[in-house]
Amino acid sequence: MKDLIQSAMDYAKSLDVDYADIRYKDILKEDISVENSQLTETSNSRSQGYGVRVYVDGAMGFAASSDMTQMNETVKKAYEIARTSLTLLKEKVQLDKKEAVQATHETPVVKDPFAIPFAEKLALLMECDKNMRGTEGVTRTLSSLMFRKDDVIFADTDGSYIDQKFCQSGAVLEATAISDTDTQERSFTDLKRAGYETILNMNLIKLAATLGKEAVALLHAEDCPSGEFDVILMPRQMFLQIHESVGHPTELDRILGSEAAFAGRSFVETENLTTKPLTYGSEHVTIVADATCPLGLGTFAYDDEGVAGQNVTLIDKGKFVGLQTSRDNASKIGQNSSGGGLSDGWRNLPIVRMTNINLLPGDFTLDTLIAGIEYGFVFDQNKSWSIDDLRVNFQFACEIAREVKDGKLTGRVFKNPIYAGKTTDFWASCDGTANKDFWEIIGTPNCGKGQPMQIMRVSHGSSPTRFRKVKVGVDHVE
Amino acid sequence: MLNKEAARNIIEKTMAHVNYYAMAWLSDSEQNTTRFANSEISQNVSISGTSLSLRVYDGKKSASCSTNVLTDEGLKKLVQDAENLLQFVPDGEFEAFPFPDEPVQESQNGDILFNAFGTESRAKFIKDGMAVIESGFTAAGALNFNRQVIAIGNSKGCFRYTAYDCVTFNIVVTHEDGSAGAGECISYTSVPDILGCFKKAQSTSKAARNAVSPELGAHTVVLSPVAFADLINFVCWMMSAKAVDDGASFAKGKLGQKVFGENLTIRDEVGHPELRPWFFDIDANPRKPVTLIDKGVVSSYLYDNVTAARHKVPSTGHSVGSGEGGYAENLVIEAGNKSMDEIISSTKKGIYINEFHYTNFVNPRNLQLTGLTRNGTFLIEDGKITKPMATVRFTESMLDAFCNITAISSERELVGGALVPGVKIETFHFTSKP
Repeated sequence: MKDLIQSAMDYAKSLDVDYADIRYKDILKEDISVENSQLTETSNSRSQGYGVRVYVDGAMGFAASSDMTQMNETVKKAYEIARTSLTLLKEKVQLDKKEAVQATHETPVVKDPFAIPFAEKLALLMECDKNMRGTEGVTRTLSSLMFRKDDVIFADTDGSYIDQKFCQSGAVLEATAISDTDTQERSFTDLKRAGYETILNMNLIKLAATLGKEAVALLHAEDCPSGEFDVILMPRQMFLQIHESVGHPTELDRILGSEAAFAGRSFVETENLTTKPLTYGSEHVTIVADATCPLGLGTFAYDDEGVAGQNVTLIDKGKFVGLQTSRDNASKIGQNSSGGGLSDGWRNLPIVRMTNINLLPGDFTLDTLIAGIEYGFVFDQNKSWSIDDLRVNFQFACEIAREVKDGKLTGRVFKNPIYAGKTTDFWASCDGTANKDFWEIIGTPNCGKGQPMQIMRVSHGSSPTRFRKVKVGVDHVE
Repeated sequence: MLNKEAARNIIEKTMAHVNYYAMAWLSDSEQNTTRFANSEISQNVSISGTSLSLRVYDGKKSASCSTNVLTDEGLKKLVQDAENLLQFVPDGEFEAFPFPDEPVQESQNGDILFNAFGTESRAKFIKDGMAVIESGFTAAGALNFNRQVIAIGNSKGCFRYTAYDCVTFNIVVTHEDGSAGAGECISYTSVPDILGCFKKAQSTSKAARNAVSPELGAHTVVLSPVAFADLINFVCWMMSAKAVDDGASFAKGKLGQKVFGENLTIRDEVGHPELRPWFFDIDANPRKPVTLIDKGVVSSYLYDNVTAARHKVPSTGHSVGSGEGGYAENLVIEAGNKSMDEIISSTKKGIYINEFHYTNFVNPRNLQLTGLTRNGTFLIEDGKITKPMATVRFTESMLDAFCNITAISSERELVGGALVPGVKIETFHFTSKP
């Protein structure tokens, strides 16, 4: 493969390109699902191919193919597309500087998930199914395991050759309770760059029983009260809060307008790094884009542009200080790439994608956060999300609200908790986040962006975090 | 692209290795996208790929594998992997469903779009469109030309094949002050009016400058076909028999009941000349025309083989695979008898909405949705569009909103593969603003 890839880059050089690179990816997946006590999905898949990006006179072209015998033809196609891009080019694209790199990287794996016997995986799912159904009133159950291996080779005309092997393991549990008029669900989704050991660490069998009980409890619960309340968001809601209101707005391609016609724009401006300082949140809010932390789906040694994975601070004690960038747009603001140029497979072009966007832990325990609430709620597990084009006005819903009264959990739960806010006001209302003992990183497989649409796997780490005077419920609906 | 014989050949080569009953699904695609931002070409890509999925059956056991390594060795390994997996799986709910023997219409990749939307032509369409973008405004969008081949076969020699082309275009024009307008089009057969989209986006963006702040609460709204299509899609996702069985759907237990106003009829019309020419589903069943909502009444769910067997009804031919039940691919919303201009002129006070953004379920069981306006929202006063309005969030149950549709336009637009009119809804709730 190395000879084939290097030959393709040599051919690109012979076309007198400014620069060219290639991503070869060989992706293996295994998916197993048990729904309502029946095995409903048993699927293995392999997808192998490569994408070639070429710059000619400052214009870009990209071509991808699964035909390994047509690599030079694909390079030529990308070259011709780049020449066509010159038709409408106002400013030549300048990639930032980077060194040529020869490197290898492999996700640390204790137990290869593809080597675990199918029967063992199926038994785990069946046990989860049984435990979710242990509570009378659970009407639908879903248990899934998904595993993925990516063999990724990056090479470019500058002489880089990087070979990385990633392993991902994940699980989904869903317990649903249905009445004539209502449906309530408790669910769990997590994926990590790790081996089967991460599945065992999820304690799925025990968790399944809890989810079943809570789904039924919610069906009989009252709707969450509306009003202004102090709220603690658990990591399974925090990941969405971070993703939508910090992750996307700090992507430089959105800020520069590249996604204006699809994913949207951002309220953040590049001047917020220089002449117009932006207070993003309170002093308790420090958020990083960290491609180096263990277990994240955005963890790697090098991104899909051959740039080293980095830990970039986006918000430092409430002050906005950094952006997520890739090579082509970082240079537009005089920076080097933050290592966020990623593609979701061999088919697609690298664009700015989140790595692991993490809220760093604070000093609180969960108990002390709860103790600071006279009356409010702990919201857990996202179930609905919507945010405006500029990433200012959001409205999110969770699966479950746990009541807090006089600094203690009462044991009462409410269904359908919805909260809304404006991004910087909301983060400014954060007055504490729990310490590292409560911190967890959670992976999600479905971040959509780009045309053609790319579905990326990203992670977000956080601890339970408290926000004051949150608008809970929806006004103005009669 | 793979022609019929080439597609059949790959499936037959695969089936030569199988020891069980098997079905195979072949997808061959080419996707060409020229993307532009800040009024210049920003991304320009061509992606091609062919993949094959195989499911082998032994009574009620089945296992599935897929690959895009279509060499002789790759196909042989695909079969070996699937049959190996089959040894370990327990019985499922159903045996393999018979391959339907009803003939279905085939379609082929054509020349019209292929000749019109090569790489250079796409760049020219965009460059020509930029001529209408005025100073102070910038344009962003994408022009896609996609070719698709789908073939399904089994180990008994049954075979289905279809191929089609599709062009899609979308544009957003943004002023320096942040106001924006949009346009979009899609076609499977003829060259769509791309320049018209540029003009619409430019004029809307210009008209949207100096927007006033919205008032929250209940309003009369006039929705463009694009905005209405966004809401309709959520209704149609929930018409899947799987969504109904899962308890996720508003339509659960509502078959034969009136849930929307009498003026709302939603059909899935396979074979409609403007819609995607794909006449069979992933189960190889012929797609059947289905009325989903008939004058406000839930008339039929959409079925694949599995959900049809559970409900003891014939499949409607709407399988999307993956056990997800049925999905409407050829939606047609019945038109009304007033033009959009007449609907606006008959509105004393209301709000015209060109597009929604980031719409999502709050509660699918009561069809409560939330989302925001973007790319052109305007006040209507005394029958005329008077002022642009800033972004606002709605939160509304479509079970309420679609009972309050008081006008449906006679004009329909093809939006994302569905034929949709504009509508006037008397009570629609705006719940917050940025």
